[in-house]
Amino acid sequence: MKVERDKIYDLWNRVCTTSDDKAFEALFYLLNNKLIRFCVLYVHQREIAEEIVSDAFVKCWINRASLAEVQNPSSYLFVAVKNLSLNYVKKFSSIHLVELDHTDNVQLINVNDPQKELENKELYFKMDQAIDSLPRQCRIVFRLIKEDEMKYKEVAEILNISPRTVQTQLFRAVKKLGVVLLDYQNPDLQNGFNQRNILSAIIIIWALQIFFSGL
Amino acid sequence: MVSERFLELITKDLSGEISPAELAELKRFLIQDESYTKIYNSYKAYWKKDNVTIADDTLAFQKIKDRINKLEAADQLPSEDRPAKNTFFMYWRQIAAGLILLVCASLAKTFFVPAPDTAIVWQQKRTPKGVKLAITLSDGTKVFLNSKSQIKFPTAFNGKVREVFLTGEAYFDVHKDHRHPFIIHTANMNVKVLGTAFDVKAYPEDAISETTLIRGSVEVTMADRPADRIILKPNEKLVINNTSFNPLSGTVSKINLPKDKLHNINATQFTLTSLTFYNKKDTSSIETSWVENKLVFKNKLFTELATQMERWYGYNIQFKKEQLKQLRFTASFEKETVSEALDALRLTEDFRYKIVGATIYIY
Repeated sequence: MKVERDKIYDLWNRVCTTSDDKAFEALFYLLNNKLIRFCVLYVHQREIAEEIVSDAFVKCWINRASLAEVQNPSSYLFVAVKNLSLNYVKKFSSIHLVELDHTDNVQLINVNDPQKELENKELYFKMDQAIDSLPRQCRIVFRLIKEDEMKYKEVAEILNISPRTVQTQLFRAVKKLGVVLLDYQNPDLQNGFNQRNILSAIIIIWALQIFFSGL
Repeated sequence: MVSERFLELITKDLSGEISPAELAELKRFLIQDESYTKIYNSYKAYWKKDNVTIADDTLAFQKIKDRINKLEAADQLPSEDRPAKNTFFMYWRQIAAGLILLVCASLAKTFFVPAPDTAIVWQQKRTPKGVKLAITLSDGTKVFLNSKSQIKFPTAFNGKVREVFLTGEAYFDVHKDHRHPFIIHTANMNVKVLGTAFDVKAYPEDAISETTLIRGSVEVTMADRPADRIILKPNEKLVINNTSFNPLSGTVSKINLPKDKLHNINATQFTLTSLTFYNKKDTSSIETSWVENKLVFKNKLFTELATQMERWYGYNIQFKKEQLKQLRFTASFEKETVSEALDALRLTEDFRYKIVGATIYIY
């Protein structure tokens, strides 16, 4: 991570001071996907996110001369994308967003133990769902730390909250996942009792039925 | 239940913000209890799970380059004439010139180009009973307006969004353009799409409003519940109750509450259902059969059917006997006249009808 940050800083410097378009391209390749993924968390639509991120890059290039003083280019871009996304969401808050064509992801299954792999897929899907059900800020904190391996400090900078809040939000997400995991690992604890109850109820009804029909 | 402290340590461990002392504490937890190890491993495995989606970066970068080139060309910076050795000052002058031109251009735009949004010319189309209409909007979107419906649309779409207003029923085949969302406003729902085919049914006199999706996907919001966004997948239908009373139960509430109060008591109810197909072999669904000039219904109450037939044939239908309203029919009409259709219905149920002028009496 440290290496990458230095690399980004170096590329940024070359863009800002010498208008190096090769460096700009390299910077784009390093960050485009991350920024799009981040943007989707706000706008929920990939096409829109791609648009917004490229807007941010175009603006950076156009204003490159005034951006040489930026200390943390990666955070700077994340904040820029965040602001553009929030503007977009605000503009269309009365109306709403639509995902167009859903492409189903092709799932590859580990042939060594397909059953296990399948179970994990299901578990991860449930965990993803649990994360998606969290409030927006919590969800974003979680994704930035998990997928972009960011530090609390960086996330705090981008979202303009304190590192302490970042930790609290992440803890909240981890706790939520814990519920899913426990459910998954001891399904008997939750369901077994109910099933046994229903079973005994059925037996009683059945016994009563026999008793009454006997009369 | 797992201890909170354990989860806190996991949180720190996953995010790489754990101190050596805390790491030792975490390890103690793991030794202590096997179930903790299990949970910890699950977290680790999920955390590692790689779900990076790869965008076509080269293509995306090409687009950015094109945009930058266009912008710089607009600034009229003769980049070819630039001396090979770019001094710092040359560079600053270019930026300054660019900025000035940019400011001038934007000023000129605000001063000389009239704001297009204020000058929207609206057009209205209305269909009477028994008449259907096909319209092509300026963006290429096709609209089939069912009978007794009304649509309001601009002669040219030039805003950020494409908006139309609908009362009644229409089938939309929206021209794909994700930069300009297409929005259909009805009395109590808004449907937003990017490019897709679907049917919107919102007759004010009907008890329900429906949105049926054929392909693509749309999002629906209700006027009184703006927070709820419902996304429809293909072959799903959204049904929204229009009014607080339920006409299907046969009784109409007589209490006259103030409108806003009514609103609170009965926030719009909705249900998602799959499409109803007339029969399995038939690919066209009942919801959109009218587009193909067919009147199709399945297990429908006579009252509901009557409303549809009124629109279809342009007659008023009146029931002389209350109990006849409860009859149910399944049928498909295409070229039949109204009397042929009613005769066909009489084959299955016992009722009689009389046509007097534009009114049909059923007894």
